[in-house]
Amino acid sequence: MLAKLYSSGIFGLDAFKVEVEVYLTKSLPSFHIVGLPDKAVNESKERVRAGISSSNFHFPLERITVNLAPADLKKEGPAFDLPIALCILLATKQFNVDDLEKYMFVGELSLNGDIKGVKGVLSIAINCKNECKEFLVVPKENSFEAAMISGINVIPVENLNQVVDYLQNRIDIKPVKIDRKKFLKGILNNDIDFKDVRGQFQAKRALEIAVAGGHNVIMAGPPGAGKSMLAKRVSTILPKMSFDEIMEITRIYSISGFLSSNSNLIKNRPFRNPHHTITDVGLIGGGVYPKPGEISLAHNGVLFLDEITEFSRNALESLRQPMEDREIVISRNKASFKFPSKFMLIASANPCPCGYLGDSFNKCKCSYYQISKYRKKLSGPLLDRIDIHVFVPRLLRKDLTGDLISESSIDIRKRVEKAREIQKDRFSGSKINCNAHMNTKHVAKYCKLKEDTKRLLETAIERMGISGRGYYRILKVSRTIADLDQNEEIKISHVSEAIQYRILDKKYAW
Amino acid sequence: MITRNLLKRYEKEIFIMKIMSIKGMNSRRFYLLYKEFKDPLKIWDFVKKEHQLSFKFHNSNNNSKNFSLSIDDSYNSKIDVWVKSQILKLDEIGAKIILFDDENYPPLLKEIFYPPPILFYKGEKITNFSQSISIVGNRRATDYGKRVAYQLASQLSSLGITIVSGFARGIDSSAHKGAKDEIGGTIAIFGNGLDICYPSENKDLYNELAIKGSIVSEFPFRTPPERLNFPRRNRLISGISHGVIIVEAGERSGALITANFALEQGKEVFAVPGEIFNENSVGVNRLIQDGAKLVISVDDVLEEFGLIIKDIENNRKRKKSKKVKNYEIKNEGKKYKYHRKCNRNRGKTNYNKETQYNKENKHVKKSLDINDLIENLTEEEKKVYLSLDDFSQYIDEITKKCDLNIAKASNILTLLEIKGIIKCHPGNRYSKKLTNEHR
Repeated sequence: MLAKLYSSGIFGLDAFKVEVEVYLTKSLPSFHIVGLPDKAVNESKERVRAGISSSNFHFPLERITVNLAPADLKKEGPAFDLPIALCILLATKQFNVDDLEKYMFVGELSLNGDIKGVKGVLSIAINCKNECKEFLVVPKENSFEAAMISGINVIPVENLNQVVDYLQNRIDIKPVKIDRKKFLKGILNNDIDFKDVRGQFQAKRALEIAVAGGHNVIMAGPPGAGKSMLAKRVSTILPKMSFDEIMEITRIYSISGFLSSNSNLIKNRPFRNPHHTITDVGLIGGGVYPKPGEISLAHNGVLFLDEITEFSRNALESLRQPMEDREIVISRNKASFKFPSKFMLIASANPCPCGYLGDSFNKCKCSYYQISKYRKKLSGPLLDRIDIHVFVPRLLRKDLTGDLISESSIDIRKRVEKAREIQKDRFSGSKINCNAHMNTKHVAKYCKLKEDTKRLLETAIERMGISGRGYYRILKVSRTIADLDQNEEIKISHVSEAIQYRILDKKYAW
Repeated sequence: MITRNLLKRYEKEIFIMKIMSIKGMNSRRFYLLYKEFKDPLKIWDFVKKEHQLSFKFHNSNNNSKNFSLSIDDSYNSKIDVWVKSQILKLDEIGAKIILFDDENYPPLLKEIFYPPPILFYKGEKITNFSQSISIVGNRRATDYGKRVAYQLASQLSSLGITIVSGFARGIDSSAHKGAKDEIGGTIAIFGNGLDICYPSENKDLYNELAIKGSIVSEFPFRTPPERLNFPRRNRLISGISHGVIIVEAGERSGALITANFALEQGKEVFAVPGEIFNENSVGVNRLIQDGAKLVISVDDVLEEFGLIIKDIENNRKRKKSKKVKNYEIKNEGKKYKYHRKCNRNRGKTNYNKETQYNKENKHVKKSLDINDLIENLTEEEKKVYLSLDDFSQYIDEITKKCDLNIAKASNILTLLEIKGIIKCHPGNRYSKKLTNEHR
């Protein structure tokens, strides 16, 4: 009375093959699941019992033992409901199929026998392909997501009866096929556009440079200056994602359960905007069954930390390492999990506790001590990882109501994409793909300055009190500015513009 | 051995330090005791023997008052260690001590009630200066205030007048910076021990003043900058100078305490008017309302002391020959009254000549430096430079004015800033740099 099926479980970002075995013996009726199930897996007993009964099958009154192999890996989530139910039906010989080796099943059972969507189907589909299974039976909700992986047949199912009928060839369900090209076409959010932001030319320029080179940005400015407005519009000028990038980010969203059934892929670069009360675990990921945090959800996109000084010190400092490595490794006693976190950080802050330092309308009321204390909230190492600092002032009313039309996002985006092309060619052999990720070796190779340009930069550092750590940042940013200018050589004008974006380094200027 | 020699050398100083360190002791009480015993050693012996000291005296109105001091045994043993450490510190940082009965003790300070019996100092200015004016004001100063302080200080100092101030942030620092390189020099009075540089960002200024000017404190070493020290310091600032110029003071600013001390001590009080909307200027404007002399230029200060133009001319010659010599102030009327008592006509002539002198001197200097630089600028740089103002403007406004794109404007502004002819303010705002750099 033994039956065996294949399913798949999530481990970090990846999926692994799970063998679901059911053994029935004549004994007092009972139902046991072994193989390190979590609460959700254990509760599947009740769902399976109800699902089988309401689908007009017979639930055996025997001792049922379910084994999920490999037994030493923790299993979580309700995705094993469907394979367990099918296994029980097989073990009680309520239906019979020969070539079950070719199939992999996932799905959550509802009490009436319907099959609901589960998390992480994309990873499961990849696993299915790697394990050389031909058919992947998934809930209909998740079918498009799974179908992104070519080489397997994705069978969308809606209820338990349908699965049994399909397996016995009583009905035919066509595997889902999607037109990848059509699917990959990004849908741009037309609600917001850089056109909406009046004035703020320097801030816009800084953001353009930042996006072009993948640099991290901090915007300082009084309340109501439009920092958040600008940051939200950054997503409209981000370059399009490649197929690989889309798959990476979709996988992360898939295992986090953030994919809704109508948008099965993340086609636009993510823009994450966590609240400042977030914990370090929420930000970088973690938990008993480690889940990706905000930095991984912002992978290939933008992480916007509004009012960065209000974030807890712990949370901010935990950002340092993933910002450098562009991935985060979360270690638990059983295993360590790796999540990618290649994000662009946009932070906003007030220049002082009252917010009005450098404002033309309101006088700043903070004491020197208060200001220096406030600024210490941003640690040196963190600021060190932010290439571009820009001040965002409040606008005069005439600027707000004037009819001066600014550039639209589409135009800016065109320039950004051109600059990215150049960078792609430059770094084609190496692991990185944008200027911001250059290490010192790359900087030495690609950011060569002519003698007079070098002298200018040195004088600037000396005269303006720019800290030593600013030097490399300036070089990287000037490389991006030169790229935007479609210029192979970094000229004086590029370097001098880059110096403009180091205000927090200047001793007196913020 | 070194310590023993040191202790021997500073014998008298040590007794005064010991006496002053007794809880409840102050300058006034010290002088009362001194009058009685005539010798610090005797005072200390007496206090040590009695453990408890009750002192009764009669003031001028024949009302008797008394005070008592007490020291316990543990204190008695601690004090020797403390004094030793003080003397070592003195030797370590190269400071000196000046006592109330030394001939070098600032004569002006001798005239105030109960001058501090012991002063710690570094830099020789304190021992040889004759005219001095203090410039004090807000710590959170505006650019305007700092500019005024810098300019007044450098002009007065270039005429041989020593500038006294309190080494605080803002106005005080600007005044020191303005005066430090001129012949009058500058004296900084501390509200803490001389070994502590407070505020710490003035470290460079601290080192410079210790050589070029003087840093002075009535507090022993390691005294932290505590709230209560500052009014005491302010008393010295006004006491050591002929007049006090208040540049920017809020309604409850410490500078107003200095002004009050100045009045008590019979010194002249000057005030530089500020914007009426500015909270930082409420106090100083009120001073003017109450009768302090309004200062528009350095001549308003000179006029009050009747410094005649000849002296200035002479001084200019002296300045060329690099001989630093002080000259007398000719007093007109009573200085400690608020109302101007001097001859208006004479003041006026002075003013005219003085301004002319200023104009000749300063403008030539300014135009030489900056015109050269401007000549060498490119067309666009020139356009940007000319569109700038004395007050700060945000980079976007400048861009709009010059009809440039932001990238171009950014790089021109950086280049100009590197050349040192424009200045960057908080929030990426730019202005022309003034001839007198007043950071």
